[in-house]
Amino acid sequence: MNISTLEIFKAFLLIGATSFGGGGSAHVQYHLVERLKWLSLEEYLECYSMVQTLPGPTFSNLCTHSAARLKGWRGGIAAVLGVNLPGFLMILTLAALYSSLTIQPSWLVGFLKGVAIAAVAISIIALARVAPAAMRAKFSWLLAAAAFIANAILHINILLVLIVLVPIGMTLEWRNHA
Amino acid sequence: MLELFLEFLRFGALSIGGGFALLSEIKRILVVERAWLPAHVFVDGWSLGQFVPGPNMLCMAFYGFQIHGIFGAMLAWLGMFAPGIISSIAAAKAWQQIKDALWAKTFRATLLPIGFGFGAGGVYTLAKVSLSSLLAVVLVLVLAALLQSKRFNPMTVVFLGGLIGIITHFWL
Repeated sequence: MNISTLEIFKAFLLIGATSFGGGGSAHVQYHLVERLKWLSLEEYLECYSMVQTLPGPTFSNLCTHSAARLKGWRGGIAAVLGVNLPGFLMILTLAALYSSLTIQPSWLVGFLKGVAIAAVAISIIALARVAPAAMRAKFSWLLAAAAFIANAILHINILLVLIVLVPIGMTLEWRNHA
Repeated sequence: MLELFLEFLRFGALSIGGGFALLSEIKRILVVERAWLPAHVFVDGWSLGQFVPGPNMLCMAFYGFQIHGIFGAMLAWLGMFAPGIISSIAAAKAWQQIKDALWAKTFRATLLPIGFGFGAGGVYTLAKVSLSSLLAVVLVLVLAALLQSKRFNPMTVVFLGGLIGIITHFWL
């Protein structure tokens, strides 16, 4: 597939301009997997897991890493600039106005709550759509449940979770194919 | 300026698994140790960062701006994001080399359910913060159903959510 650096920049600029309220990875999944078909669900999920182990903001890294897989370092740079640019300009504007921003109008509070709720809905559907690709073996649910509990309930460091779960998962996977 | 850049570079290099995990450490350095920002400015910057689209760590640009104007904002952003950019590109390059090895196929298959579990954890964390009323729960279900029907895409749903939020903000 021949994707130009400009196309990558434009795709991530759109993601950067519309991913309000968190859950940015669900937007990456929608654009790259469903809309543009640049990645398969499996490739997307690999990128998602991979960036959990890297330093820095994970959503930004997901954009950089998936675009670098498509078009090397140029793609990665185009993606990270595109996804950051709209928010960067907005936060600079807010920072410049900050001293005169004293009241938060109630409609703005409502907007923020509304987009955060939409982000939950988008993330749930994104998760439901990757489930068939992620859960192909019987033990897949066990690995997923262990990762969920360790990460979201027990708040164990993500690297530690991977150091424990990856060898277990690889052993099970190996035996499954042997 | 160099000190500002190096401090944010350290935040960027240390925040494995995302910036959120390091947030209290970042606050300690900026507010207490370096005393570059008053505590209320730190908190306001975080809230404003949630308002803009894109990565929530864009609040670092806000802090940089408060410390050193527009160049401060650029250096803070670069410091926070550069370690991730470099390692994400390096990981993609390394991946191209190893992806077809037999062990790598097993490794890839293992990453899928684990990544799904982390993703579910992310949704759970978002939901815990955002679903504070019955109306919010109903709204999530309605928006999820609209998305699932494929009549709406995530971009439309975000703005629909924002619009409903504006109209119903007294009850959410």
